[in-house]
Amino acid sequence: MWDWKDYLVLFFEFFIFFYCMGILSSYFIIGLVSALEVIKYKKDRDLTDYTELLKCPFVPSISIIAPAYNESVTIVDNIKSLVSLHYTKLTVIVVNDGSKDDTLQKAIDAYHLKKIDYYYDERIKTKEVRGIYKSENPAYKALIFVDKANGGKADAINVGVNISSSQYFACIDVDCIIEADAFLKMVKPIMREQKRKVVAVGGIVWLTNDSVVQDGKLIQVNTPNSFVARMQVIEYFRAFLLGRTAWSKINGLLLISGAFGLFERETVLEVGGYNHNTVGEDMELVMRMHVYLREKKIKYKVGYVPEPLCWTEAPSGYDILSKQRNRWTRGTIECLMIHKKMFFNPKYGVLGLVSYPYWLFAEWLAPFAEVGGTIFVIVLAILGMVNWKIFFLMLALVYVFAMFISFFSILVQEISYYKYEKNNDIFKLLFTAMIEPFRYHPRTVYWAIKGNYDKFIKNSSGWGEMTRAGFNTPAKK
Amino acid sequence: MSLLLLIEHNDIPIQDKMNLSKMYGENFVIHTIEAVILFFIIGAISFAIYTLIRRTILNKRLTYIEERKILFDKYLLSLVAPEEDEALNITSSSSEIVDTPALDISDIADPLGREILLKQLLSIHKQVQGEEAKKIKQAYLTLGFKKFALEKLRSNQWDVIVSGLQELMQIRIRDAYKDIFKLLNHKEEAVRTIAMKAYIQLNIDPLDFLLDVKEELSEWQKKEILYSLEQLPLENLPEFKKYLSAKNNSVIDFIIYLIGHFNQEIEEPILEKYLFDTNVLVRLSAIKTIGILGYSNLKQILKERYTNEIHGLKIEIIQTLGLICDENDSLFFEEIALSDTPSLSIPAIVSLKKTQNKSIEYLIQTLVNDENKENISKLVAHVNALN
Repeated sequence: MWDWKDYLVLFFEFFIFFYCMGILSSYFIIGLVSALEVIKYKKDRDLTDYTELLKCPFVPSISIIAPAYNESVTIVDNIKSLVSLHYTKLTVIVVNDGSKDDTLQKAIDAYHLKKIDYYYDERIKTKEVRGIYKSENPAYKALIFVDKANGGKADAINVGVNISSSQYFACIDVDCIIEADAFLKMVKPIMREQKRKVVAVGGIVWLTNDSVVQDGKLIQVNTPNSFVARMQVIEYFRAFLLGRTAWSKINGLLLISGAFGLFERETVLEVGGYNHNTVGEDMELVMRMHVYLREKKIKYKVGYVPEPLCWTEAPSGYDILSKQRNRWTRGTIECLMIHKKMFFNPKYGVLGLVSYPYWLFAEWLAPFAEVGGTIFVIVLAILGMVNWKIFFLMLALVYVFAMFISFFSILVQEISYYKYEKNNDIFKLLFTAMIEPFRYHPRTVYWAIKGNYDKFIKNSSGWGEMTRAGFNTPAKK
Repeated sequence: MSLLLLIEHNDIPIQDKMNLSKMYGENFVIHTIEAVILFFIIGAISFAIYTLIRRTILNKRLTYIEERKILFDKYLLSLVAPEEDEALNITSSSSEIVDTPALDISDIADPLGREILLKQLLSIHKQVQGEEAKKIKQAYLTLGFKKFALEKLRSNQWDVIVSGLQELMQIRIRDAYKDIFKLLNHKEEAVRTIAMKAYIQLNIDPLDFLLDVKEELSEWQKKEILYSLEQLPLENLPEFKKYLSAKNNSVIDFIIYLIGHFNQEIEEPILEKYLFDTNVLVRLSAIKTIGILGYSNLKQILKERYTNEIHGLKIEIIQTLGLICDENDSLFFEEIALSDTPSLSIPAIVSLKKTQNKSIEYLIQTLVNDENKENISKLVAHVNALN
């Protein structure tokens, strides 16, 4: 006869088993759908002559908004790379967010900036704007440099949105490398859409650690020397290549990377710009746009270009990486709590019924399920109640599945973009994927749990210190 | 007993456990898990092996492609700039290949060889003009590529159809337009768009299909159509206004745009009529085209329309009037410049500056008074800084 303890154990067993199987199945389906879309995109891209857009009067106008804080060392080169991008209707708005170093003076000297009277409608309230500058050199007529009081990244972007007069704006990190034809590719989903308004477009962000960069251009992509950074390369393959592409296909994409994304300016103004009160401001904005447009019953799309158009540097040590992941966890929690009305709410369509629940169960709660399941097994083991054969089989299943998905993401990258030209790089990535579940994954679970602890118990907020080595670190050729 | 058998119950008799195992339980679960593990292991290993083998194959293929490219470039360049002492030996038995130096037929018997030659041929064709281009076209035809291109149009794969269309368009195979016409309603948007582009380049009446287009033209399709039209000699451009009879508003809006872009003549009453159209984009195109064509006789109508228009089109009207008005119209702009709407005041100040052709100081003197000094000064300074 079974008593209540047996039923309790059975309940946990079912819950954890079906939860895990649900997660693995969803990864499998998302990965498959994404791979097919990536291959279709590549065929389409190879048949398109994007240079025709350079003379096209129908392309939407774009402002690049690049917040800058204490970027004295790199600001001159960063601006140079932005104004050199291949796009005709482009404005570059660099927002100096109250830097404590000489970022402003460096820019003034390099680009012959002069303070001007510039009127703009402050539709989103921001911190004080101290001055707006334009270059006296006609070669930089597309550049607007804004100096403002420190208010954080979200506030800086909001200033840029106020000042911009373009149809779309691109929010980027000033030290990212953007491919020269990135915007030519990003506008294609906007221009192709016949029935819906495209309010945002995301793109793939990949990692440049130990790659060769010259004059702000990526010359050769190498796998990072550091295991930590290499692990993130595979994570980014899975997330950007095999994840977001599928979500965009069903118009259920909740997140566009803060490092690189294109947004329709008027819609962002309507929803009030970026939210200062969350560290997940990029995801929160997209979710708020979804909510607004659904409630207004406006037909829209959040697009995605599954090609690496933006390159950034990943943390190469556990210290900085743990802070980043802590922030991402807190950002996810905040966004899900702010928009909790979407949860299983049919009013929000696929977002409420699929995207939001997925993020809740597969992103936020997954570390708890993992830790809970581990504790559950330990307790059962102590009580002598574990069928060890099946236990190890299940463990093996999870491990080989992780390898399967990681190897698949490496293959899709290979077929689609072939960025890592050296065979040695591929061997490194395959090997790294094999040891990830043991050496890296437990840390990410810990950081996620800690992020929850910091959010709910310590009530932490803010970004923390993020230091980067910069692109000009010695790279192998 | 636990269905998943992760938990063992010591209070169940051994014989029952064994019976259950026989009937259903443990073996089934274990075998299922093992099968799934095997599937993923095989999958993972396959991906890894394929990734590595693919590189090797690709590198070999690249070497082969480079070798073929050198050979084919030599052949194609000999067509463009022939020198007798460098002519290749004729090895083909085909009687068609008599005017041009021939290739060894085995070089183009395999699909990859043909594809490489085709790519090189198209690449060189893009770079040459006149007689050289004609020779390349002749080579394209005598090598039988037209037949392959038309076969591509019947493929099930959309990207193959698109590449066939691009080929026929580039080489200007005019009699292919009938095959292309059938693709204008293809289910795949990329095919429809390139088919439009190709049709325009190859048909005598390049835009006749627009009269039957049901879907709304996307900006991308407009871009492709415009690009194609710009490749045509001016004398081959149709008279666009005849397509204003289309039922599709996006087509009408686009045609009005084309009239302005190519500076074609159109009677003022026709354009005036579209200022009252129910479709916003049609009205927008009409307003802009009036400015481009410089139809100053319509400025009074535009001023009258201004009051009733939506905000976005008000800005367009102000900008258009800035192109066709003169000093006598300054009052209209001054009134708007002094309004409480900066988004209208700014273009009005810009247009005032254009029509008056006066300095900023004059503008300030005209517009600024004690009441509005701060606001207007800011707007005027803004216009001055940006213009």
